[in-house]
Amino acid sequence: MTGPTSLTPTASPRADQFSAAPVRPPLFPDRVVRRGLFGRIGRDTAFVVGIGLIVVIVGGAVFAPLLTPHDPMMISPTARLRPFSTDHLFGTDRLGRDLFARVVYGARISLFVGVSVAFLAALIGLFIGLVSGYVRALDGLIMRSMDALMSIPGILLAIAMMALFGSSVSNVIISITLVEIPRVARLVRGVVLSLREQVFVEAAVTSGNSSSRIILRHILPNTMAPLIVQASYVCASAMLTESILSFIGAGVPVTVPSWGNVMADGRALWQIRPSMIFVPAVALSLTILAINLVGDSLRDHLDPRLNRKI
Amino acid sequence: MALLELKDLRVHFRTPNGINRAVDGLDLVLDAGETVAIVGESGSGKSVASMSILRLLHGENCRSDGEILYQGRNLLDLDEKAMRRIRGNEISMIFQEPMTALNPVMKVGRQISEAILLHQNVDRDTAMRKAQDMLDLVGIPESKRRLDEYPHQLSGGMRQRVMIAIALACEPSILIADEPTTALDVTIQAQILDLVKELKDRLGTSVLIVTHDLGVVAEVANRVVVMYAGQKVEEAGVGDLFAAPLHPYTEGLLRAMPKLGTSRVTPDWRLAEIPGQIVSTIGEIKGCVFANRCNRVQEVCHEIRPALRTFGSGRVAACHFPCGSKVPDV
Amino acid sequence: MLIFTLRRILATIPVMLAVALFIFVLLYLAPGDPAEMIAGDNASAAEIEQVRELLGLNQPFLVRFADWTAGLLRGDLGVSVFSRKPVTELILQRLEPTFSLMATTLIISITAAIPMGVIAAARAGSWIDRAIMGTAVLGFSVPVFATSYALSWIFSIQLNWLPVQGYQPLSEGLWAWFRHLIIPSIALGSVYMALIARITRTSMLEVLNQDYIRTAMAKGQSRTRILFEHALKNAAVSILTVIGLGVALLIGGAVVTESVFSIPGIGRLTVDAILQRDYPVIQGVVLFFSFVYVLINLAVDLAYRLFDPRIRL
Repeated sequence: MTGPTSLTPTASPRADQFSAAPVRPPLFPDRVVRRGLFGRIGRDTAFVVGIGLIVVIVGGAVFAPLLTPHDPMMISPTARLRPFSTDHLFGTDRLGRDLFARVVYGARISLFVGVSVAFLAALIGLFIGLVSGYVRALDGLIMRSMDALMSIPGILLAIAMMALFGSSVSNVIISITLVEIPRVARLVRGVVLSLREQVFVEAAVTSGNSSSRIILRHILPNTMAPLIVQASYVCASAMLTESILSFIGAGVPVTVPSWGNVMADGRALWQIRPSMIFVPAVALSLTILAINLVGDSLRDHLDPRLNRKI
Repeated sequence: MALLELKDLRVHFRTPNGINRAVDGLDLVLDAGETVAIVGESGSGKSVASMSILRLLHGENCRSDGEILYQGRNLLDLDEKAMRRIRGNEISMIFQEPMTALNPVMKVGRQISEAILLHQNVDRDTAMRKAQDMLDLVGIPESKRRLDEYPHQLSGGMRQRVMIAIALACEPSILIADEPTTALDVTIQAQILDLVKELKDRLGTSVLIVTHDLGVVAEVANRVVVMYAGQKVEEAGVGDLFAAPLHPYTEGLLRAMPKLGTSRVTPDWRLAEIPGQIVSTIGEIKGCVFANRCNRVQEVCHEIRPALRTFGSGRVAACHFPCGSKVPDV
Repeated sequence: MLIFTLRRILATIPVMLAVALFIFVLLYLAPGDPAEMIAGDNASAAEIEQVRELLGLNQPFLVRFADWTAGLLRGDLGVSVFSRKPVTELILQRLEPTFSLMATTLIISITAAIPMGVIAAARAGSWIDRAIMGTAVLGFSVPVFATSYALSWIFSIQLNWLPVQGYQPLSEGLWAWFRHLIIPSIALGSVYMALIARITRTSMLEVLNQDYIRTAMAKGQSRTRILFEHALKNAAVSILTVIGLGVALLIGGAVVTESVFSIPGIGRLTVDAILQRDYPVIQGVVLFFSFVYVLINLAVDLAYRLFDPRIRL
């Protein structure tokens, strides 16, 4: 492949007179796959499994009456501690209540608590975070209060509030929301502070936009991705906290069949009937797992900073 | 036999956007006692090529092919353990960023003695004494105190000296320097280059220097390899290259370099720049890699990738219409 | 250095004060009349009034807070409504089991989780990485009492290897003590382990991308020693931070674990106090744990310097 050895000009350019470099295939099979956000996330097994589980669980909660003929609260002294059967899929508890019905209906309470807390904590945390990140004068005070709130171990704070204000679903939601707010607020504040430094926000400020307009148009949309991811974690964490509160007797009223309460009921006889605890535990764990899987893949796909794969 | 010879070296990366042919068929020879420079702008694959010699690029998204012959042994065939005996012992490397290339939580003395302990059968105290000697050798004053300092207590130039001390601690036969002066102040740059030259002569080390700066090349190199978009486009002795570049890209690089003795008053003072940007090495490039920026480009250049041709003594270039030849319609 | 340390210690005082104020306000706002509760069910109005007078409950808010804080400084957390014993005494009595459980959990979790995270980072993208991270997600998702019962069911009831529940003080011998803590520690630590393994992986991945790792490789250092000597020490500060913050999970989880395994610690005290509506005890426990938590994180902050010479406190 050596060409002329001097600098003599070549004659009229005709393709066959040029020495061509060899063309070789690349060292990887050449499959160029370009996908948008939805294409990529749709191929993420964890995400698909998580969403699938959530659909099944939410569906089960919504259509609970269609899944089981039994009333989750109905006590029947004649049908106590029945084993697994076609009628009582997971048997009955020591008061004769159908375990399957209690677990299916229990999903309603747990999901309601989880979603409510996620929504409230995201909303309030977003507001506090925006104010703290944007209004410098209030930043110190707000963040020190959030620090103080975060210095109290979350579950203990919820326990204290529940013990003082009494068992009810709304108190559970308020208590857990209070625990979760500082985490959301700190996240939002962090995003706001980093955005403030960026060129497009500075440009908006210099071109005379009002603060509220800058927050609404420029900052708020950019906090959405991390906020959604955080809300999914808050939801999972709230469901765990609710189950723990109910389990130790500081959660929703004992008559309400939340998963925590069902497990608390199962404690007395768990050594002979472990299913009393394990069935609701598996339901709760699967739900939280599903939410975590979805949250993780949302984080991987939505947050470009964490998207570096090695 | 050459000390180091790259034969048809290819390094490809799998990226989300496609396959990056960062280095695609590089031939290079480094003889004992010689200094060879690889020149190119960022994205030319020069750093990847230099790092692939010690097989510092790894992971399932990186593959290398071809031969890297060191004293006749192909480094690509060695197992990890044998490779480790080469690294830092027979072939050493220094990097562009002295600010980040040293471990921030490890004392300087330990970082130098680590290399010595790995390759020489000596105890810790001896290694530490050797480390101090190395600091003296690379011209760091108060070497004893510096051994106990952390990198953040040193200036950028000092850190690059420490890097050189680490690299030369086991008296390697080859030193690969990847943009060793780019991140430094101009005055420090000259000091570091002088140090490299001096130590090369004193220790008899061959040097492969990677740079985008032709000033550095003129200062230290015997021979130059010009890389562009993963390809070698020209190779020549440093004198020949500066006197009469063959590849239009080399010519462009030289024109973009300030010449000594020119000033605003001389007619030719203005620096020329090469228009456009380096072509992405992701995906297939049709024809000559430089065609889109070339001032001598012809239709055929977009069609046929020029092969490397030999011009006179030891000069090669990959161009259909090298500088000095007649271009049909220009 | 000493001045910096002192300054950092002083900085925790306002945080602790804010925590105390918050908990005090909570109790202040709580429905129900504490005087009524303390006086007992069949106390007359005059007796209740007397209690109110005695405890200073008729004083204005700020005076009460000042009194209460002064009590805190003397280590006085009030008196249990139920057992009539000082709350401080109740907590101190139950300190050993709780601290034993926390200590074993910390040790087991950290020694298991850090290598897991390091290996996952070193083999990022491989099946072993996916397996470790999958286990971690599972650890996040299974509530602590479910893990407790599952482990207890397998190792105590089915295999009969370890005691089902209970606690042996350290004075009964190291093995007796440890044997009773194995399952509770692993159960309590599962979330904590997941947390530490994850942050270890994340910060290791970040560190492994750094230039100085390449330098260490170019020296000829082995992969294992690069991971554990060069990289881990650089990742240590982030890992340590999460270890400190994660103690909140351990404290919350201890309440549950102690209750499941009948460990007579402060967690059990809390659960009993909830069931008996023993407000002073709940308040005291929350305050106590919060202070422990703040102090642990203070210790973590001070320990940063051991790992990173660049950090100035």
